[in-house]
Amino acid sequence: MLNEPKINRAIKLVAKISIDKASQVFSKLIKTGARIEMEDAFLADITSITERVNRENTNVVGAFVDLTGEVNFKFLFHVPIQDSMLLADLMLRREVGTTKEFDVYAASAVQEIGNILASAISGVFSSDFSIDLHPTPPEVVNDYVGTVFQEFLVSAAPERNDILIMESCFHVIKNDIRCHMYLLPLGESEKVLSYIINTM
Amino acid sequence: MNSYQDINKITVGVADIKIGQSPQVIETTLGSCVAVCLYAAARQVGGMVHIMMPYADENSSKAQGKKAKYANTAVPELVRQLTSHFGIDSHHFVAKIFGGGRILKDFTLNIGELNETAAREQLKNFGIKIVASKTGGNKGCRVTLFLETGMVVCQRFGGPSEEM
Repeated sequence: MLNEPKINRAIKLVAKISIDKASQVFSKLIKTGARIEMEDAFLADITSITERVNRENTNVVGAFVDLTGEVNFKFLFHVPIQDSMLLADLMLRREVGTTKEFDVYAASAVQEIGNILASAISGVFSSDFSIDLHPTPPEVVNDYVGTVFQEFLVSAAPERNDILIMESCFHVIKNDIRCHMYLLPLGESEKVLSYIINTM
Repeated sequence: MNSYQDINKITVGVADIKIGQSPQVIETTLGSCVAVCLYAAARQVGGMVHIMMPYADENSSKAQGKKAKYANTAVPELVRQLTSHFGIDSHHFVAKIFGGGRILKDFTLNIGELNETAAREQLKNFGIKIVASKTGGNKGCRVTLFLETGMVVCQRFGGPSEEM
């Protein structure tokens, strides 16, 4: 694997810029001030991080996206189920608390935010680095947090033993929605990331 | 059975092995990964391995670095840890297998099925009998091995708990 710290720095940079752009889109969508903030980013061994995740008794909704083009990435965004209902209310401009159980609207809310974030990432590569990248429609999964996370590892990084974790928070009016997102480069994409960080 | 929340609970991550003895409880959450549970009733000891992939070249650095990740190195490693730590021969153990689901529709490779097949093959090589299994499906499951009795509670996401 190429210089790991450089790759991770590049991914964090892309994610940070993408989150800033996604914040703007999200705010326009729900017609109110909203801010998505990256709170922490760290490299973790897959065994220790999944042991921690498996200890959580959380059910989540996750959006899995493939980003393909001149580089290839796998992207995952997930929120706790309760927060997916809150997001549905915000996006449908209903009173918070209207959605009382996980339904098609909550699933669509997570899918849409997955789209927004993935499109923001594609936009960063294309506008900031002139690299062509396109997101596929998100696949939404509602399951245990341990299941969702390990499926991302299996589909995106079966040969890796560590992964960059990025923990973000959506600050929307009086609500703080804790979410997680992960972005993994596939194959030759690491060379492109290394090039990005070298030229900055 | 009394609630186990106050008993020492051991959590297993991906590509991880944990062993223990009564009254400990070993737990993990699965998707396409497979958990192999081994239990020796006479001594009330056992272990769980969380397998992510079916095969690796046993001599490769990746297999050496994370033996629990690949079925063909994980099961032998679980057996080795149990037999060396507790001084019991492998024929005293019985096995239970869980997981191997297909969670993502877009993922064309049915890795869950491959993991299950590889795990079963390894157990057959050791002559360890599989006494229970719950595999396949398209939802995750939480698996809890009670070392007091060898019972495993398997809860499929959105479904009831099953004692096996």
